[in-house]
Amino acid sequence: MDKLTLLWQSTSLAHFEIGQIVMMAVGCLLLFLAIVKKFEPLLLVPIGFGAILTNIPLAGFSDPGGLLYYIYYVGIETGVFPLLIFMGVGAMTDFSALIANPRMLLLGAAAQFGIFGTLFGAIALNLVPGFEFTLKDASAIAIIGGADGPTAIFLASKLAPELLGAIAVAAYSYMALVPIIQPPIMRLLTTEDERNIKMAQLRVVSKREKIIFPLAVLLATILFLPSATPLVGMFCLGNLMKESGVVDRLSNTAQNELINIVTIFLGLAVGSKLSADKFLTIETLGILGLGAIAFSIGTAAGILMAKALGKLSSEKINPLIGAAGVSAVPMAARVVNKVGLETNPHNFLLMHAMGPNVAGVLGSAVAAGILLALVG
Amino acid sequence: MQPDVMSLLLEAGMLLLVGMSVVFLFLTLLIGAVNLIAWACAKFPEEELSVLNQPRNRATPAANQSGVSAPVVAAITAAVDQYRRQR
Repeated sequence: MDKLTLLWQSTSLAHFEIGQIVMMAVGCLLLFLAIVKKFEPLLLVPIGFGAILTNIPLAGFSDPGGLLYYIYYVGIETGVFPLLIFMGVGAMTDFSALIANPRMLLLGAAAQFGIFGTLFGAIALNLVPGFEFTLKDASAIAIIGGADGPTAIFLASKLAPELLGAIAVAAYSYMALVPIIQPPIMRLLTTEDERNIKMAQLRVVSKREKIIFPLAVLLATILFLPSATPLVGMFCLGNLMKESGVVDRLSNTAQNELINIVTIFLGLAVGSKLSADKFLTIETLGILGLGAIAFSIGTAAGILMAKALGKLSSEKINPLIGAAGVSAVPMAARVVNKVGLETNPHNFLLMHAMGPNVAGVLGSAVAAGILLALVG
Repeated sequence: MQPDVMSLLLEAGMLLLVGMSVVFLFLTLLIGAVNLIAWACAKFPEEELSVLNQPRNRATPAANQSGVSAPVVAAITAAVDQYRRQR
């Protein structure tokens, strides 16, 4: 009889807690969204699976000595994984649309209002009983508005590691939902005539400009915002490898093999933070709500800025492209293109939207640097 | 609790102002930098391009003037190439 009890005690069935079962269901939901609905599958598959693994009783994946514990410790607590991803993103990014029309940087800047506006909102949520966000927590939540997964994970791991799971899941879910969240806001804030505006074709950008650009961005960051140099520096390294054309092998590795390997581990590590005691809280609900608000504010701010810019400048600017200021490359730019085509089937805005889109990546990295410098 | 939240809100408001100003200043600075790069690149055009263009421009009229047709030029080029490789 003793042996039988011992055997029973060694099964998971004897040790399941209700929270673990709920979190496993959340993991399965993420897998469902990834596999059936095709929402950011590259990340949600490892995150969802990580969530299942970490909630297995007795297996101890996330206890000291467990696999997920080490992956998290090595890659996220140190901030290495998001930075490696950023290098790969840099190697995939083509800045020519931005170099051809540098004023688009202002749209990328305006969309960061989503971040700082949400910071305010997260603190205001403290007035509701049950919420107690510190300024660090609020900053980490607000960066969801940057619509940039690696930046969000990097900042959350530095400022509020205990909220990382919820923040990463919110950031990636909303990035997948960009085609649903953005169009209504875009239609609400623009008139039919404005959506019809055709923009002048972009000039050809020389190779030399593309090589100097990442170096200039890095120099400006070194001089004025050193706290953003981890993100911007890795991004510029990736971009320089691509544009210089002399290290194609390194550039290919950064944008394919390396980013794929890191994505697997990053997803698992984020999943390991989806444990019941950290995720099943009222704060998670708040984070999910604030994330949606952050996205919407960023989109709206970008569009309004594009309208203002169009009024002030001699060149015509279609205000729709402001919505692409919330990074989420290249999804946001594609959404702009789609909404533009709905109004005028001959008006292709994709290349024009890529400018604010990559400006948004720089903008959110800069915003992260500011938050790190002021709050961290 | 309430006065605490108020001071936090004040701080968040300050962050909002400072953060947005710095983002705008920084990216405006970048606009200047990009314009400067574009200006410098226009002022000192890439040498590679002009080197690449010149021989091509010269080769075609020369071939036309001497009355040698393109396939013959190609054949001679291939033969010279082969000859050089053998040496």
